[in-house]
Amino acid sequence: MDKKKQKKEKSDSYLVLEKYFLKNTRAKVGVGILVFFALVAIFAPVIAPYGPKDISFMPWEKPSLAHPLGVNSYGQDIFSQVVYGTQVTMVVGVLAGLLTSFIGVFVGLLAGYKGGRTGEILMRIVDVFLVVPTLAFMIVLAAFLPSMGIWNLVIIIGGLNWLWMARSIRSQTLSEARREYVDAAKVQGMGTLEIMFKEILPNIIPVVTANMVMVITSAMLTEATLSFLGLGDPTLISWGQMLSVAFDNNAILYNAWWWMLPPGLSIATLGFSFMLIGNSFLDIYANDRGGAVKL
Amino acid sequence: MAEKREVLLSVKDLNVRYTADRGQVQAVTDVNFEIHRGEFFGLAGESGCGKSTVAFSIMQLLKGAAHISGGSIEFAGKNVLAFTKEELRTFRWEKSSMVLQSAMNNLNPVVTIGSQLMDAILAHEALPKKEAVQRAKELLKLVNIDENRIKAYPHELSGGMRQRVVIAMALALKPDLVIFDEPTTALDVVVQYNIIRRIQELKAKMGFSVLFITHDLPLMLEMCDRIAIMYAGRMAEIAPVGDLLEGASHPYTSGLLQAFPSLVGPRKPLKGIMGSVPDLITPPPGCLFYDRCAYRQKDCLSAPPPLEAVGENHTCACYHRLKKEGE
Amino acid sequence: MGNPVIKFDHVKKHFVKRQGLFGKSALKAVDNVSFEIQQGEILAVVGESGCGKSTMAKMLCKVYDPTEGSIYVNGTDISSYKKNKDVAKFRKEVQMIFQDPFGSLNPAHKASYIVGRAVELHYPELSKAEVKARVVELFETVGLTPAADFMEKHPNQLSGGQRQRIVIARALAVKPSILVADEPTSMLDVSIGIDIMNLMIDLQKKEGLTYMYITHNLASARYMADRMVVMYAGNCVEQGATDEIIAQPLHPYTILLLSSTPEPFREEKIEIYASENLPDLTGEMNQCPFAERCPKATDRCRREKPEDYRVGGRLVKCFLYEHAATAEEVGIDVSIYNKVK
Repeated sequence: MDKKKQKKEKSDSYLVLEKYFLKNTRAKVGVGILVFFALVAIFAPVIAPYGPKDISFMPWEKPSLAHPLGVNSYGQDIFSQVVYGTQVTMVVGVLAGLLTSFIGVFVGLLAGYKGGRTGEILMRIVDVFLVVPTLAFMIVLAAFLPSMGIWNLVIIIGGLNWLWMARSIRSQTLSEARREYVDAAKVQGMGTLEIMFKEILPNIIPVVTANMVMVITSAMLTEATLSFLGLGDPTLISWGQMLSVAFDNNAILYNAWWWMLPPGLSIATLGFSFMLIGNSFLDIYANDRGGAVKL
Repeated sequence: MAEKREVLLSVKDLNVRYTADRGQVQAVTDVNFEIHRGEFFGLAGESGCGKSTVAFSIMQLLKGAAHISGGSIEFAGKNVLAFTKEELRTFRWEKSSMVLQSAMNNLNPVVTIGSQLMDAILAHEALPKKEAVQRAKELLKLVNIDENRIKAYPHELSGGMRQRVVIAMALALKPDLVIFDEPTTALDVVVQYNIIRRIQELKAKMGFSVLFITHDLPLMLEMCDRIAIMYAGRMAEIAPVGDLLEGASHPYTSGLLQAFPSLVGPRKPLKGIMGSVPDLITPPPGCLFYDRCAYRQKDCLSAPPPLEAVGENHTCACYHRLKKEGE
Repeated sequence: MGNPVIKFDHVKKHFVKRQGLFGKSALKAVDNVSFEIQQGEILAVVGESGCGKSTMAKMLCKVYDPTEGSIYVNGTDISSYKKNKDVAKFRKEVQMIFQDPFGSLNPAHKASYIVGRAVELHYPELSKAEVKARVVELFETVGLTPAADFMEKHPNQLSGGQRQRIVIARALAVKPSILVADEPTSMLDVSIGIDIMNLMIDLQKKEGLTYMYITHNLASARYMADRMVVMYAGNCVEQGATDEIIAQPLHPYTILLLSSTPEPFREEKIEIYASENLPDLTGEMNQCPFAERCPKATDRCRREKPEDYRVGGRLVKCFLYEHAATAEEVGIDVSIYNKVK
């Protein structure tokens, strides 16, 4: 009996943690991969044997003990580049993802809760932007901007990625706003902002998290795409940039798999880890609500 | 009531367990009761008392985490729990059928009610189509729906009409036992009244037995012959309606009866039953109603009280049952 | 009659529904309803689903505004409260108890936050400790004792009855004079629900609260209310003292409702049958809304809409009572409703 009491005394945050993480193998694997890449990014100078831009080796060297992933056509150590590339990819992904989430949550909540004219106008704006091919638009923007530093990347990716998220948050907010506690909050006399952020938002956090995770993944992929297309910052070493350079230097012709696979696999693995986290959160949340949640 | 009537359904020492995260939920424990042929038997109790679980056990429809862990269910002398798949198929629907609370929403929205009725008939009987149509029309008439509505889709009918279509389907194969699990809870009182009267008329005409499950005690007292009251997965009291109206024997039944406001007689203050149902994963020893009981005594904690006869057709599970005047 | 605290004056609420591509139709959820509630009184609004009773509750709480007509609270038309400050003042007067104690409490917050926030909103001058003391007091008022056992719990850790008590505590937090209760016990087990009703009656006596109590159950209306309003298809068909209406129903719809409500202690079983077809609430209503189902309907009922006729202390919307003063006079025997077994 005592043991049961103790069980009940567990704090709420612990219960949430237990439900969404400790009992959730998919999330654990995802977070594990994520932590691994984060550590790599933080300790890059310690892990990487050489600087990312050092040109001091024999070009096209195959993987060996000295160069675990070989050397590229300029004579740079690929392993060191992949390690340092983690930094750029993660920083751009996370920052752009946060920016996206911030805009997406705000617009989605406002459109979903306020509804009426405000909601209608916001959603039409979203629709208009959704019709514009985002990637093409980014390419145009990137081409016009004088320089393509890490901040410009973050702003371009973050500023154009929030559309789907806003839609998803809106539809979730719409269904949440129909619940009686929102009427109760109105009758209490709470203001619009308080209802949006303190009443509704806490209840859709799993959807926000899942969306955020997706958005971060897509930001990382977009960064890779832009870099691959040669629109990134050429002085930054990122995974996309590496692939771009490899492609330009005919790595395929030279059969230099050690140059193309590592950055590609890294992108895929990191993206996969985010997907694992996001989807598993969403499944648990949808189960609680007894229905599907659209993203 | 003196003559011995044929027992149609007999549930003996039924135990049902649910597997939950924290352990086994003792959803139904040692439940015993009998339903006679042609009887209108009510099973009442509050949410979570196990009344629907009993019904699902009888129909062998328990799913997922729930399983029967002990006891027997006999239908016309045959053990339901030992039925083969084929026997079970004929048992369900032909011998006994079930109407659920939400059944009216489970009709297929894109198929006419006529063909849904015919499907129910044809699944068990090989009939030419013309005869099946005829039967479907008869069934609709039986539940007071114009036979011309046979081509109607469910959304063209009101909630009460759809629920009556479901009842017609349940009666399609003239079963011996019909289980109603809160069939009118989602409906308004006027519609409920019409449906209940219809069920009573049909029962009188066709002679089936009814197991009627609801939390609405006044409704049950008005329509049933005998009522069983469940509490926390156990049977508290089984009594003929007349006995209950004069006063219950079990403190829980008595508490329930006193919690319903009435439309007649003087207005008097009522009171609820304080407290809540114990945790059924690790139920306390003794009587499960102990915490909430106004008549509790020390010996109530020794062991769960067994059902004991207190009158004709009347049993009660309480060591200190309430006595009527003059007893 | 004294000074009414609440007055519904020819209130209408029409919801505009889109039909097809261009068509629009107005669903007349509430159609010309007038009644008053006196200080310290419990008025029950009784009717079946779709009769407009919840819409009336939400209008009184300013969740919607009426399409036509006015609702007066303490003599002021509540639609005149437009500025946030005025609405906040109004919220201090009128609070609501919701039907679903599982939906009306935010699952993300603790019980103490839910009630405490309501206190803070209306008494911003209170210190944190004062707010907490008030929350404890409120928990005790609604019978959640000791308060410490419930303060830190989330709604999903509480039973239905306990949740509904939190809902009441939250409503009381602003010290309102009027409570609107929309079927507060219909989702609870009876043994729990009756205590919630008792709590509400208790509060009415102790704090002098005025209630508009919405229910579909005539027996609970009789238990709670001094007076009642019977609603049918957006119309108030009969209003008067609860005891009188239940002992001697006048309107044919009230009679149907009363006959259909199970009551095992009634001496005779009542046999009555009525069609279940509800009138279309979107069309123009040029007849009595109950005419199609009414056993006493005449041609006139299908041509004209009846108005309220005064019968003793009651108002009945039925042509039968244009000249008659009792049910017997129009050939309806209502004696069966009082005979106890």
